[in-house]
Amino acid sequence: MAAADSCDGISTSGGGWEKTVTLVSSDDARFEVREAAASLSQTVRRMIRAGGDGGIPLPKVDARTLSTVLEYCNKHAAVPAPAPESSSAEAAAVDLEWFDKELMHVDLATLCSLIRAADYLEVAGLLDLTCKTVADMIKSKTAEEIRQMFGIQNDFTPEEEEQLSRENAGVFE
Amino acid sequence: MAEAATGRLTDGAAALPEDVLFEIFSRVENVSDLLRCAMTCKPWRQLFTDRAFLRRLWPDQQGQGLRSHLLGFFFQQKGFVRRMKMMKARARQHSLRLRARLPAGTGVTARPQGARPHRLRRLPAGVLRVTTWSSIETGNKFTHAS
Repeated sequence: MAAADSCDGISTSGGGWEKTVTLVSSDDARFEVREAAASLSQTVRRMIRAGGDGGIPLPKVDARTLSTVLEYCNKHAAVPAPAPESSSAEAAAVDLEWFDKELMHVDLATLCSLIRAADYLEVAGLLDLTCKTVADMIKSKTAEEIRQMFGIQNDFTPEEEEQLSRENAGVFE
Repeated sequence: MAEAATGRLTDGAAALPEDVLFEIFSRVENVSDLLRCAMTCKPWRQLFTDRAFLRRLWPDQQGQGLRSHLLGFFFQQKGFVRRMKMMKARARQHSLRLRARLPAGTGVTARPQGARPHRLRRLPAGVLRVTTWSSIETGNKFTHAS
């Protein structure tokens, strides 16, 4: 680790050291991440390319959210690109799927911060995963259940609502 | 936080920016589910009456049908609310005149249901409460439907 620390995580090609970058959350927590993992975020990738030192500031993401995002990135960056069909590639895919599922076992508020973070950081895979999870939660719920789920205040007048549900009777068949 | 100030959105969820909501809604496969989302509150309904938003949601040819389906549905809603407001205003305006012209002693209470008879639709069957009149034609025309 000493070698990595001394030159801010710069590695030599193909060697034992992997290039790392430091990400700084909105609450000033510092995360040292492999560049390969951090680069799953297009936003970070652009910032790496633009250069700069002392860590990449991510003022829109708090430490708790960022650590989950990085957990996702670390896991997904470790998986090699679609390899020829082999049992190990298949096992890796299954493992990854299981990992994703586990990662989504959080409450809606956390899920929403993850979505915002994935949107801001442009981590396409995580954005898809989180949004799909919320979309699945919406499935087959009544309007009232959706309101409760998202904490939405019903701002329709009773008159409007009656009309909405009456018209909907035909649509929802 | 912001929700305390507005008192409307208790969680960050409903206050998600439009781009993020788009990401979520574009992954809801069932149109009925989307309709229910649009029925939850006015800001969300607003999204689903936005042609640009719907075009992003269903950009392809096949989406055209879905787009017009939703748009048709919600513009109908908007139209209904507008018509109700208009009708109420007119009802107030004309109530005295209307009442004066009702057949006396029939016990029929009437209120205008629509400004244009052909717009009348989906009234519950079996309820005798349809009264139309035309402010253009001379005299009033009463139609009782059951």
